Amino acid sequence: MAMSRRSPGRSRSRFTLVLLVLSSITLLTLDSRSFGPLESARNAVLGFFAPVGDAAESAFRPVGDAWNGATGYDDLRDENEQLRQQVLELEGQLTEGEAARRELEQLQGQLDLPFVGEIPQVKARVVTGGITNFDETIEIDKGSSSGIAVGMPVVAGGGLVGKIVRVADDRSAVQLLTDPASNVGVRVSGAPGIGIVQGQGDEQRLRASSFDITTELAVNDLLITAGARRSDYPPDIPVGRVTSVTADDASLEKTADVEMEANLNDLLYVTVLQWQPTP
Amino acid sequence: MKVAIQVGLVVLSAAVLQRGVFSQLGMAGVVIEVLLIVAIAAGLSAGDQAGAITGFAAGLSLDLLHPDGPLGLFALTYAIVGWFVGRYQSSVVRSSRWLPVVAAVVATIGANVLYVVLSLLVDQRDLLTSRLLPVILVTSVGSAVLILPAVRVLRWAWDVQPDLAMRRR
Repeated sequence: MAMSRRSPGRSRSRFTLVLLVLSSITLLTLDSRSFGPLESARNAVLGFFAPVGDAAESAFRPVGDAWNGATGYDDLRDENEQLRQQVLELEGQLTEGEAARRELEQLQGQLDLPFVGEIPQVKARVVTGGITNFDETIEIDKGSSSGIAVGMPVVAGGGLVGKIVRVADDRSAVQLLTDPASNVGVRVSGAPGIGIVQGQGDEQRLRASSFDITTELAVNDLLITAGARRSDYPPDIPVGRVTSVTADDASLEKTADVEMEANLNDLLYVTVLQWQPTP
Repeated sequence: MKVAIQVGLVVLSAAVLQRGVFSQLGMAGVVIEVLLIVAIAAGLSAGDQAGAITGFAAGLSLDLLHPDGPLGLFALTYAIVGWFVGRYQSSVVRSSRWLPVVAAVVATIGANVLYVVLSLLVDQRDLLTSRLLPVILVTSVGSAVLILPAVRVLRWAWDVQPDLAMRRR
């Protein structure tokens, strides 16, 4: 029996390992081909763990807050934490006073984003960050029941945050721009030149590449979504600002380090754009 | 059957802890990986086969919780790590009280490196960034702190009695 308490022998143990490795490879292969039942299973897990995770999160939030306060190492983090508390308090007290209502409206007003134009929007609260250390995603508290679908862009105050990669009824997962698998077609705001921005698995920092060497790319230039046909994102959404530029004469390309416009540290609310790429 | 239920219960509990608690308790943006500790503890307490099976189950749970990663990569990584830890558990556990802690730290470093390498091979996702070092440091400390209680829990789950060497401590 596979689950005996004592090792049944080296050959049997090796056989078990080979079986598990083959099972993993099978799962990886099916997943890479977007096998329907596996996708459904992952969406179901997202929905299943939502209430479980929320309950545990609520119970341990004071611990987490205290911990974050103890391990936080910059003023911005503290300010964001205070703002988080403020927003949570205002949510609960919305009907209790006009002053609180006005303050909350001001906070919500920050989410009225000029660059999204007429695209329908869904506001959502960020409920958790990545589960693992190699997870450049966040979860939000809205899902398919609010009209959210896979592929929709997600923005916050400063600009583009990422896109929806998984949806349950009342929960969605957002792949952040910082994910190494994330690619966004961008152009320089107010100037010609198109390139690609990729995540580096690093907070706030992105890498832009594939700009023609003749492109006028300078420090502090704003990169915005190019919105080319079949692009995952609509045009003209701010992505980030150039912090350094490198020209490669061999490949005749320019690359740049980019700092994201949207602040991913302690995101509280995001806006999902109900927009799908043109087929 | 009893062992399967107990192991399943431990893995499910660890998944809930990872999702609800430890994902909130990051240090420098890095979280402790409880499911990896479960896989290592299974290998240390019940041997290579138990380590591989528990590692696979724990990794698969993490794959399912991880909305964007390739499904099966954590399962593959943790199964291999659990198996290797179990392979050397007899010499490690019986030699010294603190060697399980050292083994857990080494296994945690190995698991992180293996995941990064497999991710590059399988998913063409380059995770070899400046963040890897703090990830290794924080997860190693977490494994060192939690491995001894985790070994006790996994010993219960796999229905393993403490051997003579363990009783002597």
